[in-house]
Amino acid sequence: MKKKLRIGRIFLYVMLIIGALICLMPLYWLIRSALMDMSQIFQRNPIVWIPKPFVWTNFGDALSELPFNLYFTNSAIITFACLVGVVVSSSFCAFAFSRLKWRGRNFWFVCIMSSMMLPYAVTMIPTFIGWQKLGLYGTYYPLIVPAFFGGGAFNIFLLRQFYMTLPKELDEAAIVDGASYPRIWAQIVLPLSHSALIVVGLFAFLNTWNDFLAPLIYCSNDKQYTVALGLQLFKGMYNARWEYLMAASAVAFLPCLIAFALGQKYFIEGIALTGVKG
Amino acid sequence: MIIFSYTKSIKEVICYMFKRLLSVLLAMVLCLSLTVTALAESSDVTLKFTFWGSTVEKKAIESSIAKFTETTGIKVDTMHIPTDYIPKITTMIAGNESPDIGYLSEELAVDWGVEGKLENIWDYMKDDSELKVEDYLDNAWYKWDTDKAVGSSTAIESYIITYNKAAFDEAGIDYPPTTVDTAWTWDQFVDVCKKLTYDANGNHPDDANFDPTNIMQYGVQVDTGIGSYMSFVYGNGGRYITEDGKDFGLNKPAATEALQNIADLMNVYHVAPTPVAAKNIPEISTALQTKKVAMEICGQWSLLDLGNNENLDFGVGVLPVMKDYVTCIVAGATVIFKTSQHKPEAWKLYKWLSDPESAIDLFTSGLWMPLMKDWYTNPDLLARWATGNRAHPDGYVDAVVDTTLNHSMNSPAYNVKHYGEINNIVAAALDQVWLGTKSAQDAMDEIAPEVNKLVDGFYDTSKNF
Amino acid sequence: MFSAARAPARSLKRSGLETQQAHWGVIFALPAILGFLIFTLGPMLASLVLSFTDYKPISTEINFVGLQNYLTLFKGDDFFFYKSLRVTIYYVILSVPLAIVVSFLMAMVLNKNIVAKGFFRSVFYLPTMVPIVATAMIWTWLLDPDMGLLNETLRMVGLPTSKWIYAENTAVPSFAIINLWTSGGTMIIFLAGLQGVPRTLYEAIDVDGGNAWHKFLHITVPMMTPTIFYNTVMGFISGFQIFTQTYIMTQGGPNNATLFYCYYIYRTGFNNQYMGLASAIAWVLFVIILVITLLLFKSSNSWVYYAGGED
Repeated sequence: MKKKLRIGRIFLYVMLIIGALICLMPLYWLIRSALMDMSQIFQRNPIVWIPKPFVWTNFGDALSELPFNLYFTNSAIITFACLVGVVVSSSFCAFAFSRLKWRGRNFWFVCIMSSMMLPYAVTMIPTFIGWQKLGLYGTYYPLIVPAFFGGGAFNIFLLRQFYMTLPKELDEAAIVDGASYPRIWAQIVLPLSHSALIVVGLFAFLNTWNDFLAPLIYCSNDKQYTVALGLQLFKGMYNARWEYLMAASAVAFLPCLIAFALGQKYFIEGIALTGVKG
Repeated sequence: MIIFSYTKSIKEVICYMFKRLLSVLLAMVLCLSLTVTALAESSDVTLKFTFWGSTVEKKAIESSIAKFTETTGIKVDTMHIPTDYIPKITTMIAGNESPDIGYLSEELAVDWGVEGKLENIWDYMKDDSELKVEDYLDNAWYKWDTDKAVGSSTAIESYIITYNKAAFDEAGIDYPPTTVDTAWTWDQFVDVCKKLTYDANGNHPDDANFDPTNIMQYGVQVDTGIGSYMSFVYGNGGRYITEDGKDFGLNKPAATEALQNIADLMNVYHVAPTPVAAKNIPEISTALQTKKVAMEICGQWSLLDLGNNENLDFGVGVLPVMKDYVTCIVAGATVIFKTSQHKPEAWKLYKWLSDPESAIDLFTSGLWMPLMKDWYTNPDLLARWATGNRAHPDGYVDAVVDTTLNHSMNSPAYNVKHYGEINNIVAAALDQVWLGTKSAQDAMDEIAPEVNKLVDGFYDTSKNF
Repeated sequence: MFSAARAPARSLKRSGLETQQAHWGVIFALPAILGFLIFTLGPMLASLVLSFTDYKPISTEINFVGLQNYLTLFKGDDFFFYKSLRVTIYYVILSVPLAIVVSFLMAMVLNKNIVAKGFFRSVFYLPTMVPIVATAMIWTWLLDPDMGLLNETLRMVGLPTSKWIYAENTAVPSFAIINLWTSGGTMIIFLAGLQGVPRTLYEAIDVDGGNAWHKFLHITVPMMTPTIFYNTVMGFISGFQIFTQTYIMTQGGPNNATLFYCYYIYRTGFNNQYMGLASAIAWVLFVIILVITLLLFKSSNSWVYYAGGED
């Protein structure tokens, strides 16, 4: 029995390490390219694995080519606002679609889901015209306000699924005790679904941080640009500064990494469910 | 009891709503402050100018425009659009936020002129004492009718050969010729390429043991973009659409021969990397420097990178000739939008941008070529950009300046109606030609019926290409 | 309400509960409903109407053309429609099951007590966090048939190499593989789902004398069906809308082998400026996705288990 476990374990770790290597390889490529001169990036025969010399200045140069400090601030504002909006709003709304029975629930759920099914390219212009008529072109409102109104169909859907895995007995017990639905939401459902909430938060952070199309469309001058948009600049139309692009991308992705590292600590294993008797 | 639980729950709801409202308000306040700062800037005449380009171009354009503002007092709000230029500008225009003046891609420029969205620049030139249409290069204009132009190209670009001198020295071959009269014939060119191509064991393509899967150095890399292959199609007497504007041109013998010749370099003679690798080497100067390729057939804008590469000793030469010498001109356009409220000021900026003096760095660095004829013919002006700097080696004036002035033709984007849609079909079919899975004749014949549905002649019927 | 106080306690509670639910249901859902009505419905209807016109974004004239756009597509007058549809469906069929199975297995592995759990979780999620502009270019280099790392590695190990995204028959599978690399998000969702499976259930199996396989089949999979369902539906919805990779890496080539549907819409609407036609193309996709999603939801009644009970 013990021997079987051992082999099983070893196999597991081998698979994990191979998988990790596959995931890390492109990242290694990114960092390696960020630290070299452009001429070395494309060298084959042999491929330059370790930069010779380490061009640390790429980071400084890339970040000063464009006003990245401004971009970081802009990105931070938008991302934080969206994060708050999405987490609060989607956790609130998903409750209605999972644990409450009300007339029109399925109809509205289908409507909300349908917002994900039409490609952005064809709603982009009508949406833009709508915001422009409100006089909000050139502001961050179009990027932030929708986050507070439901926070995205995929988040509502995700949380709905999670809420539906929580036993109905919990609700019923609370109602017997005289709790109202908002209390049930806040004090029972939310705490039990914190893993899902963290996931929603992480995705919201990530998607907003890396989104470049929406800021591009709604910014009216380039002082409003975000980090993701700034990165695009290094690509240019005909020639790209790859070493700067890689360096800037590496820096841009650090906040995401930090957010994730912090979030994943709360993925606590095995939620013990007390209070559920047969 | 129910009422009691109701009021209790209402209190809770209000509590939660309030907390949420607070965060909404916070976000709104932040946004408002941003809006206020954004709005505060637009009080006097301020032109809105949109453009694209790498960081080098961005800097040069912005400093050029800063000088413009100093000189004329007209403020310009420059908006650099790093990606998705077409959706951004389309959205702006659809939403009534269009810029006054800006760049426009070649696929859209003429079409938008036809749709009435752009000013006819020639109208402005009629009334202008300083600048005349004749001052410009003949092929600089994007015209949607014989006397209506949406504008000139932003700058001129044409196709040339660049090469690594060391590779030629090693093989003991003379450098590529720099004048049209001494240009290589296609066969001579292929020969030179063969001598410059070798595999890991030093074998050349004609040797018995040549291993095409293990090539150390290619003789040449050919850009498979439209400017590149059209240079040769035109040179061989072919056309994108026929001269009468009625038929697809690329499936006619003169064109297919040119296309096949290029494809054969890659798939038959193995002197050029397959388009796969070509797409994958974005950095021409590295390919030359590391001697992965000895020569490049590329757009002259590559000189910017070549000039910046201290480790590369390079030269420029004329393209090989199939029948006649032609180099193809490709570029985006600079236009003034009809909805502009400040047209006289926009015109001033337009003139400023056309004058090489205003952004001389973009020319000395090798990125752009001037729009004005006298910068090609006047020795003093030539000396300002085309000689004496790293980006423009000896031979540039003959190989590039002269050919662009006297032996050039526009890319089909300038004048062929529905070029964008036709090219969607053509480009996809050409993939097979470059990959060697179909002959040029077969691939072009196959798409001819589809293309012919779209062929509708030229915008400016006084030209036949 | 006062009259209801006189009714028997049991039915009072039930009808009171139902009213409460109906009451709160709407309140809780209100932000999302408002969001839909304000931000989504308008543009969706606008694009539907535009699909019946010859709208070009910059032109001032819009003409109503009825079903012309749709007929153009279905009759095959647009050269690319059917090809694009086929290519996209092929991609979805390849990539969605692959991503789900692999992510699920990875999540199971990462849920165990292994050394450096946090490290491995971060590593597998990493690819999704790298900005797409960098990812796409890195993959273009890695997949270079002549000089790229993937083929180099295959050569070293003696396996046959592939032309990856540069040949018509290997292009779509290559994208399915790249999609796998970025399926860290799917994995995280599975992981969160696994956290929610009560340990007491596993302990019950131990008590009954079952082994790991029983645990997997009778506890894990059934309890995970809500998450599997989510990832399947979302996999289809986003799979059909793959865009950025083809936009940056292949622009629809070689020879339209990767002319994915959303890129085709983008090109028709923006590069060619036929926004009316593009809207029609988009609505065809909408209908397809809607039908598939509804079918999936219908089928979920038979295979998805919600501990919270169906309603």
